[in-house]
Amino acid sequence: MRRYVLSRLLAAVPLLLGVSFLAFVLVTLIPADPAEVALRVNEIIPSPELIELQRKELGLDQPFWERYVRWLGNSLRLDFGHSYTNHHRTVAGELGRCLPATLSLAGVSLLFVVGASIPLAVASAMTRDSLFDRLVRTLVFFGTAMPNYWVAFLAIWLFAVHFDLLPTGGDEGWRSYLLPAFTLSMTYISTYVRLIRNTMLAVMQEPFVLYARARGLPEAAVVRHVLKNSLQSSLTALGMSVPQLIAGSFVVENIFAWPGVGRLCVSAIFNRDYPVIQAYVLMMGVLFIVCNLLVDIISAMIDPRRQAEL
Amino acid sequence: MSALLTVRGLDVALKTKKGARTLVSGVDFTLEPGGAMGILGESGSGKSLTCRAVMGLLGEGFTVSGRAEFQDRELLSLPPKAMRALCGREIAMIMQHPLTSFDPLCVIGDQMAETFRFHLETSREAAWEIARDALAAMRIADPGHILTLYPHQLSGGMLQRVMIGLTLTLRPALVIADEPTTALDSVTQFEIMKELVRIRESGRTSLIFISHDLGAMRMLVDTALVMHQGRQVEYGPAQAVFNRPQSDHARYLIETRNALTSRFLAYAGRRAGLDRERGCCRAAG
Repeated sequence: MRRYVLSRLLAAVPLLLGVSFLAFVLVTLIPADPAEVALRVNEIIPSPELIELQRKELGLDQPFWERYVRWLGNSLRLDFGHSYTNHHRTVAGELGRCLPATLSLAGVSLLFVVGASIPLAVASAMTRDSLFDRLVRTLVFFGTAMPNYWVAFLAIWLFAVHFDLLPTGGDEGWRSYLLPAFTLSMTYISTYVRLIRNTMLAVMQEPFVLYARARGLPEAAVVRHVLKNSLQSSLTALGMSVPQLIAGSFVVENIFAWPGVGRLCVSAIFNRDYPVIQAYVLMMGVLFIVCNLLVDIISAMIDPRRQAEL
Repeated sequence: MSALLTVRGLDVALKTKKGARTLVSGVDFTLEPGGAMGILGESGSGKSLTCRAVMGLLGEGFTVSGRAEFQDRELLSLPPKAMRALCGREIAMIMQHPLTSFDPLCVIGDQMAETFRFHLETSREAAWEIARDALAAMRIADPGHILTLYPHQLSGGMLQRVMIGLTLTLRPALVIADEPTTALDSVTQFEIMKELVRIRESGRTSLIFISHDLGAMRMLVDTALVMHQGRQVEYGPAQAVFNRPQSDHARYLIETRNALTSRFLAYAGRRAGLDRERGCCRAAG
């Protein structure tokens, strides 16, 4: 087991390097001079001399590789430099300020995902081809097909404007969570309902389910065995929804004016605030790699068949 | 003494989009208490389907008609819950594929104990105790340790013995063994056959033995039922069916088997003769 974890950790190192390189290089590929942008966002008319000065100040006159290595080294110490738009604020400080809002929204959404998809999938699989099952499958179809930015606006119109039940946006207590968490989790609920339902139906064909019934176990106990085996194979997908919920929140955050890192990143993109964009991309890349690693290790740990191999 | 299980005109059909498709039709047999019946037939002839229909284990989409009377109860009209309570307790099944018949994510002990807890209404600890005794009765060494293992850590033969131990502990009136030796190697097959003979000789339990292995069947059964493409083609005392088959299909099955056996014996005999001529023993050849 320890060897497996170690080898997976080692394998993650080149991946992390690759992600950091991409985060750095993609932003520098944008056809605009960062030094000029840095001046413009502070409403300074750029002249060739000023640009030259700014370039020196930002270290942009140095060779590409040197800049990358220095940026990477600083990033490892969580020092992402200062924001272009606001020189008094560090990027790390900005991210740290916005991260809790994003994490709590993603957490509530994850609760929605797990709390809705497992019961729906079980009920749907148990009553296969019934009216309920068909209804769930239709909803799943719509849930997957409707883009969440569109649903978000519909939901705002219906619940916030028309019925005036919930706030349209911002973070004002638990009621503010409902609409953004619903829109964010809708796609994932649809995906997992279908995934878990289909896995359960496949598991129900296994001989051990027939034998559990032949032994005379009550149907509830049989379903428990089926669900355990289905969740085991759906766990990877469920685990990977954690980074997707965090990274995917930026559309929803902007619609609902949610003070999270997604909105921070979008305003950074509009302002060409390169250090913030780079830090955001790097953070999300690392998040995906780390979550993927954790999911793999956890699923290896809880599967007795794989424990023996490790 | 009245019969243990009487099956009359059993039909199994599967509902499909093109209408109902009959999979098994017109199965009739009577099993006396303590009796052993063999169901013989090639793969897909409806042997397992017949037994699962009797136990109420066919899923949705199947329709079962006819009568199946077990200890004065009509099984086919029993409510599902009552039927399930009968499964394992009164009518038990030994499965064909021991390696895939246990939940791969649960240790053997949990799966045995949950069965006992449900049927005997005991505590978890007591059920584990019963499971340990069940394995010990199967002469399995270190039963306490076996109980803590996952199915993939045990061999097919061991799992088959666990399954037999689990089955016999509840002292069912009828055991249905669905090709219990097909997935095993020949040495283990022999071990499992010995266990089945032991069940048979205990006299408490009746047996339905499903197989396409005539040799194994001759060891065990007193009546035989031959199936072909979902139909019962022959039914009668085992000696009569095996020695003087009446239907074409039963004759075909039995003659094929006999031809194979005699060819094997002829080959083995010729081999032995050759070896003798060369003056060496068979083991060295």
